[in-house]
Amino acid sequence: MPIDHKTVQHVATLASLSLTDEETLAMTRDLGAIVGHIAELAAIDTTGVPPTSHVSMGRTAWRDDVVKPGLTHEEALAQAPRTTLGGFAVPGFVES
Amino acid sequence: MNLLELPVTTLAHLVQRGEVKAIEVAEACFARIDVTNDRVGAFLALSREETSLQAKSIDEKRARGEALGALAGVPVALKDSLVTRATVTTAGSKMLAGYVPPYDATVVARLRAADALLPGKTNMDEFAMGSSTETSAFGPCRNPWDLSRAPGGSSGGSAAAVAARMTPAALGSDTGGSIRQPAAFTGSVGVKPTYGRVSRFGLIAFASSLDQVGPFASDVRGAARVLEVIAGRDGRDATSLDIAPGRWERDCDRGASGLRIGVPEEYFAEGLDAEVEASVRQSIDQLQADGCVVVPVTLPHTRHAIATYYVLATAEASSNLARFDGVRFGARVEPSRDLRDLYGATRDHGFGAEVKRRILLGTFVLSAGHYEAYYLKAQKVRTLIARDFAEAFERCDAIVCPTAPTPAFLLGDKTGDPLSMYLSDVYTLPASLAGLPAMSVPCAPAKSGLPVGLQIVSRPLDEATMFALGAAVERHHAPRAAAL
Repeated sequence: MPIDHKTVQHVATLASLSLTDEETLAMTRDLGAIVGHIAELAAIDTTGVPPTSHVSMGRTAWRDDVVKPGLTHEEALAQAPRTTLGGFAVPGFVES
Repeated sequence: MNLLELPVTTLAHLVQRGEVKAIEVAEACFARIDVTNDRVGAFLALSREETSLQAKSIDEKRARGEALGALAGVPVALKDSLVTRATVTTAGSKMLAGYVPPYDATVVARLRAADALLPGKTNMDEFAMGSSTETSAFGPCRNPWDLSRAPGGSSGGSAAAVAARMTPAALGSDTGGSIRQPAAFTGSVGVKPTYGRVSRFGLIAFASSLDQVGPFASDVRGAARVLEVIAGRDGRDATSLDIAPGRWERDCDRGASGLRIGVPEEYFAEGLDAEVEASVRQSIDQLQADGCVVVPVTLPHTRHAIATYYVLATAEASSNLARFDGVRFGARVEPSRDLRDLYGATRDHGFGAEVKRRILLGTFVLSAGHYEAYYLKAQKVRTLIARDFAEAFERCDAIVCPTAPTPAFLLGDKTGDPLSMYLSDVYTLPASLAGLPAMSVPCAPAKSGLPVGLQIVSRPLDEATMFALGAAVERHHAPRAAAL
């Protein structure tokens, strides 16, 4: 599967990245080389092999079911680049 | 007596007995950092005042007659992907420049509880994506053995801090080799525990099914001590195993006699530097002379580990890094016409080229029409890679091989060609994909004096055998500090 300019633009949109034209050009070249390498996977026989999404080596820990204090409202907002009305500020996204 | 040249366990012992004060260690540590860090670039941020207060409180605790923790007065450098309450944490990214987390990672809290000193945060590849610490947004870290060379990555700062004895120990994180490869390049000991041994709570996520926190130390016993402190269940990490830490420091004294060590032919193939091979084979001969039984094994899917890893890790990263959107924390680019524009502009500004490359690749392999061919296929090959190890471990107790195909490469050598950088991870990726414990321990250096690392991979949860073998290798090659 060749990686062209259009593919990179499409993937960048999916990934919420506004690439410059120069970046798109460089990424098309780099991703082309990398996808060329990972294409080798197609040749491996995986008939009947289940996928591994996660390795588990034993029973995992459960959290005790007790209420503990979390972050305060102020702490939660403290690192926000912009706040408004006691919340995170975002541009309007509901069309009037 | 140079306090920072002392092994972790010796230093802790002296502080516990009151023969050395924690404040003396803190002062020696910052004095050493002050004369070396400008040249090396190991630390991104230092916590002078907090460390001094912490040291004084440890000394007061002792004066009151209270017992001190297992890492009393031991400076442990922290990779900047571990969040620290009230101390700037950037993960090496402009996206998080100036970010002050409201909580400590579990491993950080455990180090504090063990009376360790936490002098600062170390340089790393941006969001741990790299093998040389050159993708850091704050400038590269240099290898203390040769300042024109990379310390490896992504935990290069932590490895360099230990190699230059700015601290006798450090924490890193390892997704595909990010502790082991820099340990090999800098002549320190680096351990990636079994997946789930150590809590990931407060580790800024790269690829969650692979990420694992682990120690660097100047010697094997020191790494065992630090791992005993940070390992163990944590209800705040859903992948944390409900299993108590082992007695790994004790295992360092067990000896290696009678252990069957598997030597995989695939790790001694084309691309392996001749000096690295000679050094690793010499250690294998030494282990054999110590009573180990050498068993040839085969891990036939090794060569597919790079493709498998760079599909799975980037897919997970593309999801994990979606949280950096300019809204709740980190950088934000304004003015923005709308929400999509805010996301796009912020992310294009905040992320460096390698991070964007991996987000794009990860998004591509997960996208409609490509998911089955790349992502699902890689998950199946991951199963085959794990099966290779399971079959090999029917014939041996641990696998011994090189950590990296070459000694430390020159800065700038691979930055122009991302694929060549990825290929340098060939020996560390398989154990990551299989979730196995693995460590790098120094063996005989190259003629140039550059360190060489030997990798030991053991069965799931069998860090005990790994430490026993690591200590056996170390007995033939005493720890060396980089002269700076």
